[in-house]
Amino acid sequence: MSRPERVPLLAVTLAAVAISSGCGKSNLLAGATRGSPPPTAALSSPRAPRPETAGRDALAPVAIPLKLTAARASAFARAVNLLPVDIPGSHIAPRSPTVESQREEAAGECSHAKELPIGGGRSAKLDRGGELEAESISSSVVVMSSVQAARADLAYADSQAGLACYTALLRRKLDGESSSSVRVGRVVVKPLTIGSGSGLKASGLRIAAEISGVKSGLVVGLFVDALGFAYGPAEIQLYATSFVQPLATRTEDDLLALMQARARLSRL
Amino acid sequence: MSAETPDSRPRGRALARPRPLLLGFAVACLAGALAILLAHGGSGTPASQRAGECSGRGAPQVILMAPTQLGPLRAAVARVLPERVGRLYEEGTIVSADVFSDSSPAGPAVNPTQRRPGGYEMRWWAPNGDDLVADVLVFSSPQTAERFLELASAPRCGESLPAGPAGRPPLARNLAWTNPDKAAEADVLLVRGSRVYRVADAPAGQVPGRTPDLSRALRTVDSLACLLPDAHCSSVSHSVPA
Repeated sequence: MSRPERVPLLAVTLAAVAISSGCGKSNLLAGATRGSPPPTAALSSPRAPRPETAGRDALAPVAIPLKLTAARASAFARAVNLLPVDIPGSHIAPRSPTVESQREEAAGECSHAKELPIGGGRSAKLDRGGELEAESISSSVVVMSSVQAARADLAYADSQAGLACYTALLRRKLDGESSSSVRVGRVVVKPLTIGSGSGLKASGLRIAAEISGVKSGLVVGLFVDALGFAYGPAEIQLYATSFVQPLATRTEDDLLALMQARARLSRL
Repeated sequence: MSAETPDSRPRGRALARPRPLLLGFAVACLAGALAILLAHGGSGTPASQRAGECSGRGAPQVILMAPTQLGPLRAAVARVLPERVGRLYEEGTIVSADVFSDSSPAGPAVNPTQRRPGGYEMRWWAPNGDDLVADVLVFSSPQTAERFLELASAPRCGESLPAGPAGRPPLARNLAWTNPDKAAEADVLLVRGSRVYRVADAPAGQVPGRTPDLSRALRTVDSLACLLPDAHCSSVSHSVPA
C-alpha cells in the first residue's frame, strides 16, 4: 500500500500542476478569453436554497470498537473515498509518477504531525471536462492513532504557520513549473471553510494562481481547493482543481457530506 | 403560502358564530363555487387538479438509471453555458416535479450503486447577474416526454403569461411565469426523443411585487437552447441579448 498522504496541500498543488500539464497548457491558453477569475461573492438568489439532505446532522462521537490497524484503515478509506459515479461525467485519470514521487519527497516539509498515520488511502484522480472546463477532483482518508492526532494535523493546516509554510512551498514548486511558453504569476493562498449549518464543517485552503501564456499574454485563473474534516481519528480530505473559477461550493459541500455519510456507515 | 395565523383574540371568547350567520356563509361559498363552475362551462379543471398541475403532481416521472448514465446528461446541459461563461453554483439530479417547484438539484447518493433519477440540472450566475438553469429529463418514451412538455409548458400558478411556441429551437415552447420563490422567470422547453430539455432565466435585479419585462430573458433562453443536443436551430447565435 502506498503511504497515505500527509500534506494535503502538496497533493493538490502538484495535482494542479498535473492538470495544467495534462490538458496542454498551450491549448488551454489559446482558448482563453477571460483574464481574471469571476468574483466569487455570493449573489442573492431568486431561487430557494437547497434543502438539507437527510442524515447531515451534527457529528456524533465515532465508536472505535477494535484496535486500529493498517488493514482496517485501508478498508475504511476504500468505503469512504470518492468514486467516479459520485462525480457525473468524470473518468479515472492516471496520476503522474513524477508528481507522486515529488509529493513523497516533499511531504514532510510542511507537516506538523508528530506521529505517522496508521493507514488510509486515496481515491482515484477523477477528471472531467476539457480545456477551460477541466476539473480534477480527488479525496483521501488518513487514519491517525487518535482523535487528538487527527485534529492537531488539521489544525496546523489552518494555522498561520501552516499557511505560510504552504505558501512558500507552493511558490517554489510553481516557479519550477514555469516554462518558455507558460508563466505562473500571482499566487494567493487563503484559508477556506465550508459549512452548511448541518453540523459538517470542513476547513482548508484555497490556492488561486494566475497562469499566463508568454506569447499570447492571456491569463487564466487556476483554483485549487483542499478541504478536510476530522472524523474520529480519521482525516477526510477533498481536493478540487479547476480553471477560471473554483469548484462550486455546493458541489464541494455535497461531496464532503457524502464522505461523511459513508464514514458513518463504515466501521473504523 | 398558507401559513396558519395565530388567533389574536383573547382566550376564552366564543369563536363560534351564530348559527344563521354560519349557514348564510356556507350558502354564499356554495354559490361562489357554482359561479366558478358555470364560468368554466361546467367542464373546467377541478381546483384539486389545478393545484396538482401547479406542483407538478400527476406529471410523468423520469426513469431511473444507473449512476454512470448521468455523465452524458450532464454533458448535454453543460453545453448551454460553455467555457465557464457563467459561474456554476449548483448541479445534480432532479425529478419531474422540480421543474414545477424550482427545487434545487440533489447531490450524489451515499450508495454508489443506487439507481438515480434520470434528470440532471446545472445552475449558473450569468455575467449580468441573471440566474440561469439548464436541465434534461429522460422519460420512458417520446410520447411520455410530449405529455410532460404539455403539462410543464401550460400556464402555472402565480402570474403566468400565456405559453406559446418559442422563436427557436424548432418545436420548442416558451413559458413566462413567477416561480414558487416569487421570482419571474422565462423558460424554454423542448422535446427531443425521450428527453425534455429546459433552459430558464430568472433576471437579476427583480423588485418584489413588480413583474419584470421578460422579453429579453425569453430571447436569451431561446438562444441558449440552440446549444442543446439536437436543437436543430437554423443558426446558432454566439451571443445573447445584453
